[in-house]
Amino acid sequence: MLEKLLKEYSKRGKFNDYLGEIDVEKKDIEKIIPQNLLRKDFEFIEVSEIEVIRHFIRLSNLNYHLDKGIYPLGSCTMKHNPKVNEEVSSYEGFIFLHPLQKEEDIQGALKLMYELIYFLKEISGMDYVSLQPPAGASGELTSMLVIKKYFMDKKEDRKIVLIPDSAHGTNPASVTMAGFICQTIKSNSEGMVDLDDLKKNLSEQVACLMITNPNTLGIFEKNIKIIIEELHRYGALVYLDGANLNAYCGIHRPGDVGVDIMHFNLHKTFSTPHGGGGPGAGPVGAKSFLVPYLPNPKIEKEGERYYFKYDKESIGKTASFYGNFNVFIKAYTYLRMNGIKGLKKMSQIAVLNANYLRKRLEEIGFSCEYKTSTLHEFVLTLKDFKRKDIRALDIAKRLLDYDCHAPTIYFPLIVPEAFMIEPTETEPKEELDRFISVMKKIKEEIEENPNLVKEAPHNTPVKRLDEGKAGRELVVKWD
Amino acid sequence: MFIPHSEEEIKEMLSYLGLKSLEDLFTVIPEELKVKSDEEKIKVLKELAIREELKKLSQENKTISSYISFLGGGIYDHYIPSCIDQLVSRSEFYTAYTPYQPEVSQGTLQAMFEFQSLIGDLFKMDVSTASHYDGATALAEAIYVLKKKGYKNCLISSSLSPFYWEVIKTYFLGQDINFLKIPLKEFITDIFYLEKKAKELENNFFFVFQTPNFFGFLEEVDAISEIVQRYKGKLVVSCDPISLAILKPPGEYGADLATAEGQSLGLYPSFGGPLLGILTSKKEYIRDLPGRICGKTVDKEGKVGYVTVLQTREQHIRREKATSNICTNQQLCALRVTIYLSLMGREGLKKVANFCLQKSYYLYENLLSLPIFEKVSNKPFFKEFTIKSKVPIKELLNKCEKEKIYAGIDLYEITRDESLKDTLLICVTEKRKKEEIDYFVKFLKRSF
Repeated sequence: MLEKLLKEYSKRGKFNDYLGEIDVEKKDIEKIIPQNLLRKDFEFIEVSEIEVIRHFIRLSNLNYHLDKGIYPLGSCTMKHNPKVNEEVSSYEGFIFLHPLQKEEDIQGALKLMYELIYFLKEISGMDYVSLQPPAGASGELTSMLVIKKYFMDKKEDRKIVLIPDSAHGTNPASVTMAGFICQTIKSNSEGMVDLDDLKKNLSEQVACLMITNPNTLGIFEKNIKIIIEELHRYGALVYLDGANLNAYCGIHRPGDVGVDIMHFNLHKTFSTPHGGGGPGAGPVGAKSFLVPYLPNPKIEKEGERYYFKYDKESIGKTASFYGNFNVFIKAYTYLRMNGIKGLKKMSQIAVLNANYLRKRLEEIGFSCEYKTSTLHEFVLTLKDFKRKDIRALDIAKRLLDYDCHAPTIYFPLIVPEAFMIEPTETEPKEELDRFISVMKKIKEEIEENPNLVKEAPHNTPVKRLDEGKAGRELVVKWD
Repeated sequence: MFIPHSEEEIKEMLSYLGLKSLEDLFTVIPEELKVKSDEEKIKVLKELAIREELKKLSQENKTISSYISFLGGGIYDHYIPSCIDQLVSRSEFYTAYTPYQPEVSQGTLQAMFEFQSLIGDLFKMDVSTASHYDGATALAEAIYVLKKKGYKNCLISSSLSPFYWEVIKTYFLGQDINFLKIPLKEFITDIFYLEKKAKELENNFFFVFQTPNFFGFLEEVDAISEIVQRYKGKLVVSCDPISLAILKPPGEYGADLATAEGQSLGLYPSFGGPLLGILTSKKEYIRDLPGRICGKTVDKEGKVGYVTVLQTREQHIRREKATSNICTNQQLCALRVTIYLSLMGREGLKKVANFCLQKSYYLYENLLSLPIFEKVSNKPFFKEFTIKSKVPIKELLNKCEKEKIYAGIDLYEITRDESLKDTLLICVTEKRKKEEIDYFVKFLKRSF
């Protein structure tokens, strides 16, 4: 064991008294609340403050993290999280706001949200943005519900949602949750949506297409305009998964090409931290005819006053209140420091880094399944190493030994032994070169001593973990 | 900003790729699909100026820290020990990704396991997931679990938070599930009505309720549980985790799924986000639960370690057949809660709960001694209560606000329910001092 469980520090009688003495006259609890509503015994840990601190510091030391080195997880956009974001988002005027204060008292918060909405509109070409969905997948679900309500109001019974086979897993899962049925569209030999297969599957039954652009291979769907026109010809809509927006801010706007609705990931494109798995934020942008359907409330401005607006057509709410407000502050700060011009440079360098990395890796013998040019990310196939009984997973684990986080593996599903790499714009060239030399080294190791790779990692806090045992025994809490 | 390359390096990399300019990287995007205008639409400020700008913006808000606040309704102003901010601001925690590579994520994973364990102990439930977005979506997901198991009739108590109800309606828009609201008696679920409906729908229903309920009052959990079991339904609850140090936990009255908003446990009110959805269940539901769950295992040398388990429930493996679409959750919020629960511990949690109880009763009784208020219910409450005002609520709230007091929530304003006209929802946490409470009461006495 690397670090004891909290419970093992617990001893009866340890107590950190943060509250002191009560200042009102105390009553007998039993006289206030009937016996049958009270807890009989309360067994819970008791640990001193210093032990709690040391415990969590020790745990923190077991994590790889972005401030330590390259984190090239494809489609996750692990870019630098500016420290100033953390500072400004902790101002008292933001963290001690209650969501039910009246509009007059929260003008600063509403202004920040209103302006963030404006920035996202400018970046995407959409007519309005709801900030409410608390994560990307929630943004997808919100979008599907908006589309559903739109067709319900039009009295059109459309049940099918088309999804390319390269899509993120959240796409089909969101479709099912919204009560639609998925229909998969094939990719062609260039790694793009197969137009013939798309046309074959189009009908008046189709509610929408969920498309990611550039797709998860990092390839820009050059036929995007034709694809959208085809969908619209059948009265169906187009939803864009904005997970890969980092590829073209200030260069291309999905709204201009006819996308009807899309989501953003503030924790990918706009630098807010991932927090080990959230909180993020997944705002949804829509064209004017869908705007009334977006979650309530919207934020509007009259003169210098900001206020909430409720639409009767709205799908309702997808979060308790207005979304992950603290995350908005960070994204807002990042956008104010960059401007659209800064974002354009951001996308340019993200694509430069990815292309540099791809070419260098191809030169040392790695290859992509699809030869098409890519933007901010690319997907290697490591199937060649199977001859040495080495899989993508093994190479991922060996990277950890060299203090590199592994790329996304086995996704997208259409690439065998997929290794999906997204360096982002904030990786220095030196770090990319280090990653390349590590990949080269691993490649040599596979030839000379494949077992070294097969059994990796060797230098991490724990060795390869037995996931089978975890799944069979299902120990999900302490005794 | 935040680009680490020198101009020289950019040129070098471009020339390696055989390109002249950065624009050349984008030839794969058809020309007609590119943005033509180069106009800057954002007023750019660098770090020196942005801090001042954001400070100013934050000061355009009035905060509950500069008022004497009795606001609750789902978001609470509890005390947050200093340790928490210090520990979660470690970049080892907040700049890490979802633990997809467990060998280099043991910190996050063990904290996740500890979160699940602490929540399990507090709720007396078998299984807790790693986290959800908020209390409302955790409850909606719990309903989704039962819907997928074939339960089509969802009875919901009218004492459930209207904010949660809005989210549930949205999640199940146009879906094959029947929602039936159970009316209230004295501001808690009408047990006789519940029994009548449960009998009609025997074998194919589940009951969803909240305790302490939205109005602050405690539901009669034993009676509810008995009815649900007698008519072979399932039971889903949303509770206030702070209350569980002194109130009967959901595991003791047979809840199948128990959910909560975790904001009370160490998260700032933060204008209502980010929050923390807590979702727990009996063991038999483990394969039906949405989202991440962490489990214990060993590495190949036998060393104990942690991984996420049952990933085949999740969207990245199961796609359209997944138990939910959830991917990114609220891990850092769950970490805050884990630290909060560790620091408070058994005695600390009991103390917080008791302070809330005592102080809210202190205010309640003082308010009832004034001629302008009257009771709406004789039921016990926990840290929040509903009370009826004989003076117009708007006038009362406005007067208090001028005195820098947030007196409570106008229930009619947020529900538009005629029966809630002139009722006020008032919350007292451990942070409200006696002198603040007395000041509030004296001010009301003077003013009305």
